[in-house]
Amino acid sequence: MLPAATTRTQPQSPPSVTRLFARRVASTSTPAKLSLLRAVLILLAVVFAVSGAFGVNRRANAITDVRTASRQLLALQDIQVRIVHADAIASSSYLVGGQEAPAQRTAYLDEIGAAGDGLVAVSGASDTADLQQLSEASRLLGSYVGLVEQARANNRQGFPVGAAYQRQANGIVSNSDPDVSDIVSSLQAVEASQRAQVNSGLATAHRAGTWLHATGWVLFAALVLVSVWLNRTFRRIINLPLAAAAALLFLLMVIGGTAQAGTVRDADGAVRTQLAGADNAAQARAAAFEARSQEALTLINRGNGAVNEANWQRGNDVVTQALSIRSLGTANGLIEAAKKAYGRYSATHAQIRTLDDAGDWDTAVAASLGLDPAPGGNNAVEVFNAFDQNIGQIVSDEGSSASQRLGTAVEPLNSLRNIVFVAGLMIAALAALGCGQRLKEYR
Amino acid sequence: MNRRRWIGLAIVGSLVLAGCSGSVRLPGAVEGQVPPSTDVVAPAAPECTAEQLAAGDVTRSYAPADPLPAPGGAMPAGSTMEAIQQRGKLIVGVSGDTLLFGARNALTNQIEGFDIDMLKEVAKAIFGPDDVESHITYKVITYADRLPNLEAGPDKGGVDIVAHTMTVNCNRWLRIAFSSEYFDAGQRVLVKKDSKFDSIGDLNTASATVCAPEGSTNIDLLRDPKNANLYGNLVVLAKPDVTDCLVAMQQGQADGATGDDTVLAGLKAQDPNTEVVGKKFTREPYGLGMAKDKVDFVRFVNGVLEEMRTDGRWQGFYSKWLIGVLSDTVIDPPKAIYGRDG
Repeated sequence: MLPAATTRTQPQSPPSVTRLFARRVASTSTPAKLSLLRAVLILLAVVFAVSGAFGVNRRANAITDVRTASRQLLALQDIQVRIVHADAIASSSYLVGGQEAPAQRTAYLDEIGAAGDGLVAVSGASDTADLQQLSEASRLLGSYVGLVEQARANNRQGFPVGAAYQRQANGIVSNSDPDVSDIVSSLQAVEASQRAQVNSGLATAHRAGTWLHATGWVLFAALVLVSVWLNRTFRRIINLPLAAAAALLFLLMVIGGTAQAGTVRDADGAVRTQLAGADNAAQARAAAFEARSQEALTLINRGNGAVNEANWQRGNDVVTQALSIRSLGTANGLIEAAKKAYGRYSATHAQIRTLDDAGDWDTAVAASLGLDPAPGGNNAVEVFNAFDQNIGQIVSDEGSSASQRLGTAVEPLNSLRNIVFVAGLMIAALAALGCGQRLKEYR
Repeated sequence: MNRRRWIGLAIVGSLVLAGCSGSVRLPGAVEGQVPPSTDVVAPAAPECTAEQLAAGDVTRSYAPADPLPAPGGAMPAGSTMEAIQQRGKLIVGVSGDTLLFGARNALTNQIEGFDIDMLKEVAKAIFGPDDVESHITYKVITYADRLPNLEAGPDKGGVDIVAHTMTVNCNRWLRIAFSSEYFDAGQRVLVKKDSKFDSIGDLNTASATVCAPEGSTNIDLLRDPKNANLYGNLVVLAKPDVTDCLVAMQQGQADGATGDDTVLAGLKAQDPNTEVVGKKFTREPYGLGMAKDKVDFVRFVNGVLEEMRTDGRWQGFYSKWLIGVLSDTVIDPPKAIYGRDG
């Protein structure tokens, strides 16, 4: 048998905390209210001093991080350019066998040396994942140098196996075969990581402004509300210390806020124009050197060069896309000169392919190496160097400007952080003084 | 507007000033694309029927022209040779990296080898003996491009004749024509000197790694399930080119490389630490390739080869390129078999 149902009485819902607080405040005496408001104002002012300064500092650090990551990105791209340049020299030198010009050999060794030094330098400021990629790039660079020497030694003895070593060496540098580990892919992974750090740094810099503004305006509202309450309760026109505190805070928020917003706008501008410009130009430069290397390989592999020509087309596509990106438009006449020179190189490459495909390999090689003695003959070296000079200048100019602009953007934030902290404490003191004046009247 | 709204507006405006809106982003790396290939997919290569396979020796070619026109003299009117003579150039398809048969000499930048000398003799027979290099256009082509270049012909970017260590076989006869056999090659193996391997059988017993060029008849033979009892234990390493196989051996990735003895001789010449071992385990008769419908040209070339066999030029070229590499003494050229209808 079921037990008889019991009747339950619905309990009364307890009064909310807010209601309890309101009742308590309403029943509290004026001096007690005044003491409470004074404590609240002091607390808000101290919170403003600490968190406002923290926010400004956070923004300064974030912009400094953006600057560090952008420098790291440009340093990595410089390493990539040096390695693909060295590979282009090695591939071209292979075509002349034992007749390699000493200057070419020196240039190759200089680029490999500088790339090795660069890898050591960038490794110092890298996290674990990036460090693994850089370590892989260093290991592959060692293998690459060994393979190029094997190719060179075989080529000097007239052994065709040298071409196989040269192909393998190029495969270690270029990301043309997804099944083979290569230096460019490793470096590009770290470059992608640096781009992500630039972007996250900028996002942090943007968010960091909230600390100053949220706490500042809450404090301002509190100062105004307490002033109004004092005005109504004590029938005084104005409480000077509180008015001074509100005025000081208002000025700080307008002037400091504007200055702070200016710094993040500067950082945005530096990334959007100078850094993006340097980034694109460096990518165009690296892809162009890779294309040059592939051009030499089409001539080394003679008949087996279809894969290398496809790789040339891929590099050419990167160059064309990167040169057409709007951010490069800031580089005045240099970009137009680079585009024109690259167009001439691209046309010369087409001539080289036509000559080689028609069986005139000697003239094709002479054109690629700039050794065609015929007046008005094709000279890929001349037009490519013109492109490289212009694009190299863009990378250098835009990269320096980005770094300088990001450095300048941080400077006012260091002063602003100190001002915010001191002003916050001053506002706390003025709030204490203003409320204290009224409290004295009860003693 | 009341005071609260003013304060609210000030806060929002201040936050906007502070740059709380979306930040600028540095775009990712530019990705390059390769333009889509315009190459037409080649139709499946025709294959000989059992009847055709049993029809007799595949090296049987067309009877040689007799007599041959005088070198550099007038060629028969309307003949392929006359067209080549009028053009001023014999367009040839060759290998660029098969040392001893067709490879670029890095010191002179000239392509040279046994195959190249065969072609020079053909050019001399058309243009005369003087300044023969000026009458030859070399087109370096891959193994896979040999037949398509002959099928296209010189007017469509192809070639007149191919000398590229090319084996005469029944399937290829369906697409092109061959000269009489000018070299008797066969598949062997290249191993490191002082290794314990003396034949492909030894390598198979030891389950060793053997390298061969991808797409070659050599690798097809190793992979053919019908040959599992002979080569089934081998670990086959495929590389794009035969010289890549020498690199694989030098880098310790392969215990041996397989290919025609002619090609392996070229690899051995580049690395004295290797040797060609074992007997030929296939027969690879080489022929010069020409277009299927240029029977007059095939007869002409067969006439040139016949003269070379009898006047000692063939033996001279063997001596120049292959003595001490393939054999210690000059061997006799393979006998030509004629009688193909056409």
